[in-house]
Amino acid sequence: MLRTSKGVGLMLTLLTIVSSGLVRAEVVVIGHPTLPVSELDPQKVKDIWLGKIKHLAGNVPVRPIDQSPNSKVRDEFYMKSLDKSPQQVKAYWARITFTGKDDAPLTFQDDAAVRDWVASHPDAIGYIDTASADGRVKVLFKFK
Amino acid sequence: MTQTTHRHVTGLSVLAMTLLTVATPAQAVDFGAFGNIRYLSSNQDDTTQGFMLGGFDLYASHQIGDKTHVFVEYVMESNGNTIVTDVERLSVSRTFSDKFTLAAGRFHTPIGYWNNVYHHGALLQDTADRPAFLDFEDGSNAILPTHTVGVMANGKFDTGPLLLSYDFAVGNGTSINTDAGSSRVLEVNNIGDPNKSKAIAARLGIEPENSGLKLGVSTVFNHIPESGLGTLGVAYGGTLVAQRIFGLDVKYELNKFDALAEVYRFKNDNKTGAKQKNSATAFFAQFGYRFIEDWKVVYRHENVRFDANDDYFKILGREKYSQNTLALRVDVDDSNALKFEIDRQRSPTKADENHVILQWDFLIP
Repeated sequence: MLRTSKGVGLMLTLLTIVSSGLVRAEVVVIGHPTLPVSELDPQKVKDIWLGKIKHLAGNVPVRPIDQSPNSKVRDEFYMKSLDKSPQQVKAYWARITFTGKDDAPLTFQDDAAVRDWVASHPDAIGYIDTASADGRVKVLFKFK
Repeated sequence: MTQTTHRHVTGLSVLAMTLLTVATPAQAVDFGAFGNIRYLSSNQDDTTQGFMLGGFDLYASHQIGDKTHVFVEYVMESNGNTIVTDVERLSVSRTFSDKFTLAAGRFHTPIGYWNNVYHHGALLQDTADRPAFLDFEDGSNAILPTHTVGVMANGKFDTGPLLLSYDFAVGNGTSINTDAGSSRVLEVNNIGDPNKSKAIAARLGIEPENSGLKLGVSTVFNHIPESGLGTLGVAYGGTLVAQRIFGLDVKYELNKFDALAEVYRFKNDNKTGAKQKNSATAFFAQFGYRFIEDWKVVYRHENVRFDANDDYFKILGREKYSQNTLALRVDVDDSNALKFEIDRQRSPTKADENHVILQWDFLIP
């Protein structure tokens, strides 16, 4: 009996791990189609979202867009791109906002809102689940 | 419903639908707080010592749309056994471009590097305290107008090899109440100004690309008025000191090393006492070395010199001094740091004062 319950427990654990892997978002960085850059490297992505880079391809302004704390893709983007937890990112921007040197990225509710904003603002650059990307935006980087 | 009315209603519905489907930022108000707890020991018996609660700095920041920004900062601090709350910054700003942002409210006066980068949250600075002469207006060593109430424009110009920045502020300026029993501190004048003359402050910054170097020149012009009934022969609103301050700041960072130096030259045209024109100098130089990733050692020398007959310093009750500070900063994580510090302050009129400080700074993001 004990062995059976252990087996069920193991199965459930495996199922949880597998299912959490299945629902993990595949995050892509998107920009406006007129942005004169076809792709970004991971370091550029990181620097843009930490406010260290404000321009691309010479002097083309870019403005990073963030997702709200309850967004599915945000935590994954932070970990994969910035190598920071949401709390660390919050502390990072709290310091910068407090000194008045910069504002934290604008925050949008979900993938659709980010995509719509990027599609209508040439300087905006955002991240969304790859399934939410459409022809109105350009994919600049895909996390593997 | 007439056909015209129906058309209007339909038009409004389409407009409403369009507005509802346009993506808008979901900005919440960002709240945060800085605070610290310290233990201070001094060789002077008349100095308050022991465990101390530092100021609790509560701030809120909010972006209204993608151009307008509101910032509010209150500091609650112990004043003896009572807690006082001061508004330190309160401003609304609109960014028109990288080159031009306009702000109104109460903000840090654009003078020097330290006063613009380090604010009341002690976690941000490497040492437990600011250089003494950069103390905030109500501090016992304050000689500079660290806050301004008024309007400020600022911006940046990226020219490629050079990043140029400017800040220009017009505000009420500081005043001093010389009445008997007054604490004779620099008053920031949040609600109105005893005189009609406005203070002007400006800073120009230059950063050569990828050099680690930041240079700045700044100035403040202010006619410091009497804000009390007046005990020095100057009535309310009259000028006590016509003051010009010129500042130069240099910041340099190279790998694990950084240095910061600021020098200020005061030109005080005193309208009280012997009505003399006097000059004074205040400076500090600070050097830091991060010898392990989260461990940094810092040394700072600061010095204030002025003519004994300079009424500006006499009114404020300030003394010439020099101070050496040696500090060790350990970043526990992104939101708290421990600082261990020893300092010695020398002044011509009193015995050397030595301090040992242990401070734990934190940020609630």
